[in-house]
Amino acid sequence: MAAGDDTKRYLPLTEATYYIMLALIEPLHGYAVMHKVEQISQGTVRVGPGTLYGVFDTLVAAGLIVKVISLHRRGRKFYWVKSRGWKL
Amino acid sequence: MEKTKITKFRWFWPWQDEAEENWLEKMSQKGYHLSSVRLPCFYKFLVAEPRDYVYRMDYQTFHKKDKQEYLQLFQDAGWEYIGEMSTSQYFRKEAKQGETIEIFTDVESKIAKYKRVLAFLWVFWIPLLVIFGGRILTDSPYPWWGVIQVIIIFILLLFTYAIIRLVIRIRQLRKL
Repeated sequence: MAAGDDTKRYLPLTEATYYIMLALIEPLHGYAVMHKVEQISQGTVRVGPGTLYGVFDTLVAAGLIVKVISLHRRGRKFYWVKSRGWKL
Repeated sequence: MEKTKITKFRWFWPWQDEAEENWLEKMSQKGYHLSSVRLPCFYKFLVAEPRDYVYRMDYQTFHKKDKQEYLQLFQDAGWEYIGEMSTSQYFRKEAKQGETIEIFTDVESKIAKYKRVLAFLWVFWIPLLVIFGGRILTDSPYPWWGVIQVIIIFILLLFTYAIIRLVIRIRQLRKL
């Protein structure tokens, strides 16, 4: 492990966090993330907006995902996993 | 003329959010639909046909810019925003089969929700204790000191009670 790499301290991930990060392999906005999580978990995991907002907040603060501002859809922020997040 | 709006005054503690949601749902079933909330605990209802609404609450404090994003997320997921009272955010959705009616879908985020209220309470409780803690039981030449003492002790006890109950609620959730 490289010096200063503290990504491991975010482990273990909650089930919701794990699926949300998986969904963010491509930049998506909030509602699309909810859909994709349901899809990739084959309907076993559903994420409510309250839970999702909290996870976004934590992951952005941790520097594991990045917020991308869209020019086309005003008001909707997109999120994308950063390379640092992939290590997890 | 029939009344189109009614206002109710009702107190709920922050760990009673489920009871509060239930109460709002029952009101809607009777035809009273929450239209706005105001401090300290005023609920305004519109009188209309009874409907099956689901009400959900969150505790959040944020900057204006973040709030827009937060509300957008709920709106996209089919939640109607009603308003806020202190840190409580009120949402509503029509009950439909097969749709998620929870805004928090895991225990971790439910715990985080109560922790946000706790953090909010500490912000008031600690300064109060620091400022008045040492002086609270001393005598003072002011004739109205006794009244202030009673008020401060009452507020401190109220906050302490709220903090203890919230910690208990978080512990209960952890055991799930």
